[in-house]
Amino acid sequence: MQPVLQWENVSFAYDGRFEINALSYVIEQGDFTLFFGPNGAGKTTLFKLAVGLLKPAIGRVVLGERPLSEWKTLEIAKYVAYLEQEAQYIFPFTVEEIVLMGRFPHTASQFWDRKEDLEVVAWAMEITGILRFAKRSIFQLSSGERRKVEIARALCQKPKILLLDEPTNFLDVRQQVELFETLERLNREERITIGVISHQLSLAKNFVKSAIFIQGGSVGSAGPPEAMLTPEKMSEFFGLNVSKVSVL
Amino acid sequence: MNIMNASNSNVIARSPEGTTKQSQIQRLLRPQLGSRLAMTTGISPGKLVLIIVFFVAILFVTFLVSLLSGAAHVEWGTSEGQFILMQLRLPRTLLAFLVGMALSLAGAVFQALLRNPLADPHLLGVSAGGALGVVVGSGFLIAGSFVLAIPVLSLLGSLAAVMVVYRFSLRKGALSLYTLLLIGVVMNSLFISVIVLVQSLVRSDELTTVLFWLLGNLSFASYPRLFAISVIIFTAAWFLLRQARKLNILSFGESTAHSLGVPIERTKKIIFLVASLLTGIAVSMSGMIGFVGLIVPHLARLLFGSDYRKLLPTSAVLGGIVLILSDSLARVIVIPQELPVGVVTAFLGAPFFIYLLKRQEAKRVI
Repeated sequence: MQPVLQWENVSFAYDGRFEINALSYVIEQGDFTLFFGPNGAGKTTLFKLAVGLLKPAIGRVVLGERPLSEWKTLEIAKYVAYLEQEAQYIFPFTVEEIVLMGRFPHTASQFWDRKEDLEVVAWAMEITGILRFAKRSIFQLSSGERRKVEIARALCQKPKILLLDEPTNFLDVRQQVELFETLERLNREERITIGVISHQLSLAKNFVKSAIFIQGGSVGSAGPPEAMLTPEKMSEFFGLNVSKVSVL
Repeated sequence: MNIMNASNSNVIARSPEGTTKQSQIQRLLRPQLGSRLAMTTGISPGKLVLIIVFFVAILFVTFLVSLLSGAAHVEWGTSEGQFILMQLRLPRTLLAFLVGMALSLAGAVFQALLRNPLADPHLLGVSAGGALGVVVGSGFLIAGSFVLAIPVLSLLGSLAAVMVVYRFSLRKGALSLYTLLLIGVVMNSLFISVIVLVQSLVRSDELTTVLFWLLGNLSFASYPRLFAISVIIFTAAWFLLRQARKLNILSFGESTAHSLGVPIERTKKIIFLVASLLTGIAVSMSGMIGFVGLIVPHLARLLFGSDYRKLLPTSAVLGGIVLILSDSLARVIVIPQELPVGVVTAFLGAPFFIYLLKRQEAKRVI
């Protein structure tokens, strides 16, 4: 399989503390990867390094075949879509206005909306099941619906890779399942490579193709979900007494 | 034909998902879905032209109202009447329009840039810097040249303020918007304190003029000045309109803006500087007219939606209209005296803003 995103011996320090420590990992075309680990382990930093929001102190990130430092912001946005944790909205944009903004990397120099772009928007809203509230203000939507809007916006970027940072936060159980089903469908039908940070291990286990445990800014362990997400591993990774508490 | 298909596809899209047949139909209907959206969504030249025609009509009426308002009774056809209309009221009306436009544009831009719906052009100390420039400069000038020198002193003060605020907000070459907001607010209060200090220590005729000017005053209009500022304001407006889609995206925050392809550092810096320029120009002509830059963008948002491609042009024209009407009111409300227009905008703006806020709270929109 072809590598689409690689962290090569990446280190990143913030305020004198290493957030990422000589980490190497390769994501290949078609992967659906779960990133998990304790809070503060560096998962979000890893994603921010991957889209160029942060620059590694040592090592490099390779996107496709070229190092990230050679990519322009606009080009990165056509290749990777990154959804941050809990985006905040301050103006009452409508759903379709927000989704349309995903076309920006492809139409940056234009002012008017083209018919092709509106078609992509309709496609993205349909595939995420949000067409029925296209005209509604983002303030009127629940967290689960907002996540879908953001995914639809990301799809309009037509990315090869979709990175999501804890998309299941504040979602009820049904919304969590729907979200992972949507991601699986995108991975299978639209051939989008997906990386997702989540603490919903038992749920993610049913959908992802591989799981990677991040601890102290390094890859603690990686492998297929059946091998990684077991009670024994949980006690090993998180120091839990799994005979008393079931986390999976 | 389009309309038929479009309504069909809509029905299907609304029905529960899941069955493969339905999703196949949806797939086939995709192009129609797109064209249905094309009819109602997005920005097209036609739609904007419609809005502009609507606005020009209102603007025409507004101009008439303004030309007919004032202490003096204008006799048509007399040379005195012509002088009042053409040399006093018309330039003043044009100035009100330009200043209202500049302040509303700057307000709308600062709201997106600082990700704060309460932002207004005077928030970051640019205006107070201009005022301070005038107050300090007035000490060194002879009385006769003072009124002429106000715009220059004001612009110099604003420029200095922008440089200080900007410089302190840079962190390793990156403009921190959080720091910008804090530094701006702090410098703003500092400048105002210095103005009050000077005014309490020094008493002179010039400072009385300054105080009158500070509260917002549109009576210093002249055609050469109007020409100069309209060139700058329209150029800045055109530039900002080109940035409208980036402003939309910047309101989502820097991480999201970056991942949507907006080069955030460059964009933030240039937009901050252009919005500050608009503010500095407006203040140099008319003092610190409050509330227009805060309220007009919200009014435009309520009427035309949040998309900055619509919001910027509509805010600009609406800002002009609001300030012309406020100034007309300021001229007639206590005839034969004149109120500073800033007082009128504040009296109208504050209750209106609370009304807007409450209304939006009720709709859970803000």
